[in-house]
Amino acid sequence: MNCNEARQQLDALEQFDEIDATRDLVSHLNECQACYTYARDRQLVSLLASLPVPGSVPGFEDRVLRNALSGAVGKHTHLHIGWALATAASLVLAVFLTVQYYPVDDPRQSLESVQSTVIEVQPLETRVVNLLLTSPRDLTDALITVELNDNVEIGGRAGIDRLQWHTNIKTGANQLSLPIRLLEGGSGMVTVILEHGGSDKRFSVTVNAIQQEAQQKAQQKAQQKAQHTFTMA
Amino acid sequence: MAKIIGFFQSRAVRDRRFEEIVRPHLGSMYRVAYRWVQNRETAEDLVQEALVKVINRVDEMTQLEKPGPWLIKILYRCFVDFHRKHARTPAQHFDDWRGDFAVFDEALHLEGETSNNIKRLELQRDLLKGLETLNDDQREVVLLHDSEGYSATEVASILGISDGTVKSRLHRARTQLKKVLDQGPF
Repeated sequence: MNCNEARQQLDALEQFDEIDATRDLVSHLNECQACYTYARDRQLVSLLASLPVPGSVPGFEDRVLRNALSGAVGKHTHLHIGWALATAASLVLAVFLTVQYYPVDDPRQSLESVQSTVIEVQPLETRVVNLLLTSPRDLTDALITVELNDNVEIGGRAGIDRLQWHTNIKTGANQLSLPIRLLEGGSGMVTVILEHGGSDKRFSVTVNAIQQEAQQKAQQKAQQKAQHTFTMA
Repeated sequence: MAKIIGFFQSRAVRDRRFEEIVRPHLGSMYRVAYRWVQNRETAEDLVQEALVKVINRVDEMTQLEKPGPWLIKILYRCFVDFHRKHARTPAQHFDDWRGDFAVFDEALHLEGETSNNIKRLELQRDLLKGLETLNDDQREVVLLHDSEGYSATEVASILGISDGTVKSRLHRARTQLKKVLDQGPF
């Protein structure tokens, strides 16, 4: 077998598995470094091209188109929540918070303001919860505190129950991303506190473990999607 | 009254045209966004943001021979904005690019998988770990070029870099990834 024939065979392979390789091809690749390198490149690209992607949520296309056409500017995809005020009304901070996370009960369509929110996660699975702090003005040197109870950790860092830092809140949306992980079943609590100029705002996220029945449904759904994904690969 | 009716008619035409152009690319936009962020919900939000940015650019889109790469370019800007906002938080040290391995774990536990499929899944899982070792620039290029099949010129346009830079980043990324796949194909 010459190099041309070897590369034609390599190009014709759908997947680079041993079963697909003829004895002549294997023999050639063992002797020809250039074709071996070519085969490795083809294998790499083949694997990269078939890296699985989980399916989008059903109705995704219709929803994003509808939102774009209605000029929703993302509002319909976010759950709007409010702050529980911890200080007198005269010290109110005009900051609003939005959470980019989707609890189970079709919250994407919800535009109601609430004082706190509940999310459901699989125990020991890290989920990124994006908090969008929207401020009508710059807040220089604001203090943000994130408090975690014993059943929740951030980004796999065990033992951290409090994060605190100073930052400048800019006019408009400021994103705070928290990779939240529930350690056991039951529930946990994450509290975010923003302090500036003698006033503060507080928001709490209750993190509940996905219920068994919902978990089984999610697993069945994931298996069906995975089957589909790999059939296509 | 005629003006009002005309307004709504032209709006309806624009909306229909927008959907005709964009809908065929939503799947690839979602796929690219997912590959970048490795999170389904964030990927969907990025696509949403991109659409909001282009809703008033239907005329421009109509002129495009291939709106797909153009939409991915818009999506990339949304991704960069997301990344910048993300990195401003103290949690940024948790935010190094991490692969979403859940889909592999699920697939590997499926009954009926052939040994070849399992072997392929294991290689892909290794590859995802390899992608974690690349820097952002290399990973963005290799995911667009090798995973999504965009040409070097298209990748250059999407990322706002030169063709030569695309090729050098691609070469370095592939070299690194091949080290990860220490077991040859045959």
